[in-house]
Parts: sequence; structure tokens; C-alpha cells
Amino acid sequence: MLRTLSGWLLVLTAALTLAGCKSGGNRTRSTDGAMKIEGSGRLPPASRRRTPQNGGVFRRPLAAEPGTLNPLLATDQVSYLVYKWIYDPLVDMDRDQHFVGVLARSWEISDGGRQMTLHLRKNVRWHDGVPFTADDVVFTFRAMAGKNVDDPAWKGVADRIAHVRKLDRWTVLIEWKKPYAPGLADLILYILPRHLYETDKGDLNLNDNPWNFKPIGTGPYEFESWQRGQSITLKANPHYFKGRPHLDRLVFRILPDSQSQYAAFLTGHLDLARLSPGLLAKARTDPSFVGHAHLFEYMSREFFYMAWNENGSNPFFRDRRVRLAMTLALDRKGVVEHLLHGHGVLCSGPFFPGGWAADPAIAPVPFDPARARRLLRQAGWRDSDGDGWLDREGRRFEFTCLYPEEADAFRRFLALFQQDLKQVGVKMDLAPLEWNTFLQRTSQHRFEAYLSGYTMGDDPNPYAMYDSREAAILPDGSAAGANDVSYSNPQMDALLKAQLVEMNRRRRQKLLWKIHDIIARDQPQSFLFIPTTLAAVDKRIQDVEPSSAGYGLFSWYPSALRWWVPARLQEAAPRPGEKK
Amino acid sequence: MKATTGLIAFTFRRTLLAVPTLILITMLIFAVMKLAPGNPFSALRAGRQRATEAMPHSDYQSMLHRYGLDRPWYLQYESWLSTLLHGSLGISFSEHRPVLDILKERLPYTLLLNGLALLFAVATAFPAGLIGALRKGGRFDRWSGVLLYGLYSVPAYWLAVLLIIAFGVKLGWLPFYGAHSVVESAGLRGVFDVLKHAILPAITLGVGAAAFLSRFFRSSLLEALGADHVRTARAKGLSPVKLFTRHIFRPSLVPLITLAGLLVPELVAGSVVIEPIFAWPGIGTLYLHAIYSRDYPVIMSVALLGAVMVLAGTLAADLGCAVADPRLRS
Repeated sequence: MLRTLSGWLLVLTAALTLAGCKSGGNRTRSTDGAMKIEGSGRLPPASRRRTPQNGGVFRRPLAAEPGTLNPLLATDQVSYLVYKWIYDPLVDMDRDQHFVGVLARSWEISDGGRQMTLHLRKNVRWHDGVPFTADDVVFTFRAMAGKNVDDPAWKGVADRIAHVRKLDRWTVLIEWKKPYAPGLADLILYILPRHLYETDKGDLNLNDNPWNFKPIGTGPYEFESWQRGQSITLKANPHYFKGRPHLDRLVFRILPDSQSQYAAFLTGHLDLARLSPGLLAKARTDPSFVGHAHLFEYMSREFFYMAWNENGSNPFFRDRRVRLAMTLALDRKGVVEHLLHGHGVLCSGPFFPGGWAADPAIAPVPFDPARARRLLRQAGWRDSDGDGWLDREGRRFEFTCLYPEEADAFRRFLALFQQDLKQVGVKMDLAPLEWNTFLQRTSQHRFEAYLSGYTMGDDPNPYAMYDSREAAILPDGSAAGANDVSYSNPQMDALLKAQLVEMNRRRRQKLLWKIHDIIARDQPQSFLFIPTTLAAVDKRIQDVEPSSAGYGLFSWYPSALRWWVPARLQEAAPRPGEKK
Repeated sequence: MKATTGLIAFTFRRTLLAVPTLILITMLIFAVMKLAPGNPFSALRAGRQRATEAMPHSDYQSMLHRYGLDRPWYLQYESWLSTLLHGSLGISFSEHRPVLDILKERLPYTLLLNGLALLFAVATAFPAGLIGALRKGGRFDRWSGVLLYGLYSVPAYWLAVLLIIAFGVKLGWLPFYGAHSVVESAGLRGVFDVLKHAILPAITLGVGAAAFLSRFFRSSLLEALGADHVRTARAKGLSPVKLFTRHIFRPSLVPLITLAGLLVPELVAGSVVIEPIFAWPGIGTLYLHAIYSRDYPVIMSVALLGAVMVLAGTLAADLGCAVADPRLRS
């Protein structure tokens, strides 16, 4: 999935500005019974029993204006939130992170995982009435690999694929350059209409095609209008191959500020709002909120972590014991409780907790400063001059931690961690950096430690993060891969390689569990926590269900296609101002 | 007659001077922008966009090359300038369409907002400064001073949230996001609809300027009131109305006009902060995103526009002063 700075940093910043005001730490999650939070589990039975009715509108906020509605060109999360209803992918993730066919009805893997045969749906038409065929699929792959096509997010996929061939009108053969176990995740590819994106001469016409802004797809919703800087409206596709979606319209209102989003939700102008933990505490005492909000809490797919550079300007973090001591010394639970009001889950590795790639037997490293102190002593760190800070060979244990300055929340996390590390005699200095500067410094490995977030991919493949060759620096100073901590372990390299070509999911799972185990022992990073998302949905909307795998309310199939509004509530008149 | 030609020559001279200033400003901004780390593709290259992988290095290089981003900054500036002279502002990296089209949609909103903010500032500052000066040390003078300076020192973000809660949520009188209602109305009603949406952001944007202007106007009025020629005029029995319009009001107007013109840059800068809060579809919101995503053509275009607006504001202020005070024309 895609992510941008505005997608998470800004939201979190704004959100926690409020949350941080009251960090008394005495809040528990289940104190007031005023509202029930729906987790990723079951729905209240009442809403399940009724038959869905067609009609009604769903209005949601967008944090920014989408750059384009062309799925290949888009690099931001907000574009995805819109185009995913207009276009269909070949396959998609369901609620529990299993692959389901969308435009592809079924598929077979052959040649040891190098080839895949896709059988396409036959009853699909583009919104302009033209039938969808294998030509569109082949074309989309061709466009993806196009030299002059601005699709940076897809270049990696294009580089892996050898070729794509049409076998007949409804069958496509995809061939990877070498066997590639995560291949199915590459097929969460939204298919473009060839008849609109290819010129008469057969050339690609992607970058400034006017259809990028009034897209024609095969998806459940048709594009209706785009008022620049204001809103995008989609209307139900009556001919959708799975049947018409229940909601008549989806309206996306561009509303960057989370405070304004909340206010718009309160006054009934929006049907969805994301809440910060602090805002939730306030909202729960507001009858106008409680009266019409259905609250959901679910894990996102983003974890926060501290990276320790093993190849930095100091040698501190090359020692496994020191890295483990760092994790042991950080009171991650304290941060979740005090700064996130309990709305977060500790994690033990780069895999989604409860997902198939994560070994359920591996628990997060406990908070244990005493053991951290012992490990540091074993590694030769002592306070020989009695100044309260550890030292070794005349050098004090002091390092600088970088973080993106736009993420005010990170500053708060780090302020607490600074105290935690002081307890074990380690001095951490902080250096906030502007986002692009931060990216540059970390991707060129010019750091000692940093705090950041990471969004898990649709496939759990951890290759780029831990393979020793991915730590190389290229002649122009940029990194070969995502292994910015310069982690190197031959056993890990072998496992990473093996899981990449293991097509059997059970056997691949075993390999990934071993990788998880090594990560837990070696602590190349300190895994902190996954913040949970708090979302309020208007009570009019029925059958809303969050994903159990971190995909939230929307980013899985079919999610909102099941949503509906009872006929009597379909007049979505904004409530007047609330007076108490 | 002579006065008019003088004024025209003055305008001409000032406009001509603005051209090298503009080139210098844009060159400076371009250099600073290029010095800042990153480029439109660096976030994708760094691999924090797609979770498992970064954009392959070769693709990254070829994208940089295709857009000429691998050349030295002064060559890039040169091609930007030549594109500009051909009447184009370039193509946005993140929106994949001409920047001119984007600005055409956004600029009217920002102009409207800034115009209203300035109007609000002057309309508040004028009576407040006047009454404050005439009843110096009186109850109104003291309280308006405290109130306006309080508002002046309040962070705009906080004030915006307060206004939203009070007038948008609790009272429900005014819309607080976007520029149009969900159900669009046409014609005159549409205009009123937009104006209604502009009230809260314009007040937030203009409040600082209002405070500043009113105190400034008050003190320059006071200065004029105490001037020797005013005392003389009063002594020779000039009617209070004539005294005021001829000898007090006009000279105190000069600094006010200058200031109002110089406030334009401040308002333009304020738009960047205020617009996103109210989801106002102007160039402020656009600019913020462009900076984060290193959308060079958009950054440069907005910067150019800002520079033009600032220069135009200063020019207008100078002209206003020249009209009000003939001595300044030479």
C-alpha cells in the first residue's frame, strides 16, 4: 500500500497535539460504558439481520486533494482511497488478508512459481460500455513498464516481470524473471482501459491523458464530478459485475485539518471521522457525538521503530547485546498508555501481529531496565568517571536520534525514551529534521539512530530490510535497499532468499517465523508499537466492518460495497448547530 | 496635468524596477529550493512509500534525467525561465497537469480571501484607531487595545479552532470548511454562499493585521493632533470638521496606506497556514503540499505569484502615498 507524509505524519501530529495535553496516565480504556468500541471482531447482531436497501450517500473526508485518479501514476494514499472504487484490481485482499479474485476469477501457478495463468471474468464492462478483455490487462502491464510513464511506485514490480501474454480473450499468462513468492501481491494492480490510454498508433498515452481526471473504470462506482480543492463524487455503477453497490453515492470532501473533520462530523456534514485518543475522551462526553456515532477501533498496518545504525559514526550498536539493552530500556507500554491513552499495541517484529507471517510465540521484548544495565555491563559499558553516563575506553555512551520534525508525536515519544535511557546511563540527543532531509540522511545511512514509522506491505517479504547486500551504498551516495541499519547475518541472508522462492504458503510461513525469531534475538531495530485507529462512523451506515489485518474500513475487498443506509435515513440532511 | 504625468512616470519607473527584482527573487528561491534535500522522486526512491521496496536505482536515475533534475541548478533555472518566457509555468509533478490550470482554479479563492481579510482589517482598524485617538485613554481605547493586542498575539491556528467551535459547531451560524456548500447554488446565491464560507477564514487571516493597523493609525492620528500646524489652525478658529479632514486625517492616512500595502506579503504567508485549516481551496493549501512533495514547478509558480503580489502591493502602497502626499512623487 502507499503512504505519504501527509498520510500519517501530519494526521498523527495534529491528533496527538491534543492528546498530549493531558498525559496524566490514569486513563483506562473501559471506564465509561457510554459507548462501545467495535474492534476488529464481530458486529452487533441487530444490524446484520436486516436486508440491505439501496440508496443514500456516504460522505468521507480526504486529508488532501488526490494528485491524479490514474492508479499507475498515483503515489499518494488519498488518490488510492478514491480510485479504488472506480477501478478494479486483478486480485485484492479480503478482510482477513487472504487473496480474492476481482477481475481475475482464478489463477494457477506453474514453472516453480515463475509463471501465473489468470482466468479473467467475462461479464465485465467499462463504464462507457466497452467490454473488458485480456487486452486491457496486457496493456496495463505494458504501460507499467513504459519508459516514459511516470509510475515510480510501480517500477519495482515492472522490473521483476519478464513478460505478460494474452492466451485468449479471457486468459493472461504472466511470467516473472525468476520465481517470486510474493508475486500475487504484485497483482493488486488496478487495470486501465486500453481503448482510452492507447493512441491510434498503439503508443502509450498516460502522463497527461485527460481521462486521469475523469476516469472510466470497471469498478463498483462511476466517476461523477471533481470540484477542485473541494470534493469528488462517485455514483453507483448499476452494471457492476457483482451487482450494484447499495450506496448511491460516495462523496469525498477534501478537508485537511483533523479538528475541522471532527467538527464536520459533529454537525452531520460527514459520515466518517478519525479521532485522536484525546479527542475521543472529549467526544465521549458530548451527547451530539454519542447520539450518532458508531465507534471503531482497529490496528493499522504501520508500526513505529527505532533504528540503530550498526555501521554509523560510532560502534555502539554493532553489539547485539547493546541493541537488546536499548529495547529493554525503552518503556514502550508507558508511551502507549500515557501518550496514546492506551490506543496502541506493542509489536515484536516487522510482521502484522496475528497475521500469518508473525510467529505468535514471540512476545514483545519486556521493559526491564535492570537487565538492560546488566547487558550493557557485559558489553563493557561502565560509569567509570561517576558522571552518571556509561563509558567505555574513554568514550561516553552518547548518540543522536533523528526524527521527522513534522511528527510532533515523535518528539513526545522520544522525550520519554530519553528519560528511560538516562536511567540506564545512556545519553540520547535529539535532532528533528525536515521530512525530505530526514529521508536523505537515513537513506544515505548518515545517522546513529532514528525513530520512524513503517507501513507493512501486502506481502510480508522482509528481504530489502535485512539482506546484507541491501545495505550497500551506491556510487552516488544512495542506498541499494532498505537495510539502512547495515544489518548483516549469513543465516538471515539464506532464509530471506529461501522464503522469496518458496511458493508453498505453509513452508514459507515456517521460514518467515524463523526470520521473526532471528529479528527478535538480534534486535536490528527496536520495535515499538502499532497505534490503533479510532474511527467514528455515522450510525445511519449499516454493516460497517473493520479488517482484522490492519486494512481498516475501506482498504480491503469488498468492504464498503456491503454498506447500506435504511430507506428512512437516506435523506442526509446536515443537523443544525448543536445547542446544549 | 503636470501632477498626472508625474504620477505616470513614477508608476513606469517603479514597474520597470520590479523586473530585475523579480528575477533576483525567483533565482534566489530556485537556488534555495534546489539546495533543500530531496526531489519529487526521492521519497519513492527511499522506499518508505511502498512498504517492501524502494524504486529501483536505474529507474530513479532515468526519471531524474527525463526531467532534467540531474543537471546543475543554474541550468535548471535557465530552462525554467525560458519556459516561463514562453508563457508556461510547467507541469506539476504530483498532479500531472499544467501548473497554470491549477493556479487558475486556486488563485481566485486566495485573492478573494486576502481581499476580504484586508477589507476586514481596514474596516476594523479605521474606526477603532479613530475612536481610540479621539478618546485617548478612555474606556474604549483601553479595552480595544487589550482585545486587539490579545488577538494579535494569539496563534492563528488556535484562533481558527476557537472560531470553528463557536460559530461553526456550537452556534451553527457559519460554514467552516470548503468554499461551497454540498448542494451548490448558482448565480447570486452561489456568490453569497462562497462569501459566507469565507467569513471565518478571512477573520482569522485579517485579525492580526487589524490589530496592527488600528494601533498604528491611532498613534499617527495622535501625532497629527499634537502637531504645531494643527494647534495653529485650531487657534485661528478653523471648524473642527475642516480641521480634521484637512490637517489631521490626510497626513495620518499616508502611513496607513503604506502599511496596508506592506501587509499583503504577511497575508499571503498567512494563507499557507489558514487555508488548510478551513479547507479553503486556494494556493496556500496547494503550496504547503508542493513543498512537502518537492513539486518544483508548483513551488516556483506560487513563489513567483507571491513575489508579484508583494511587489504589486508595495507599488500600490507607494502610488497611494504619492496620491495622498505629492511630495513623494519626485
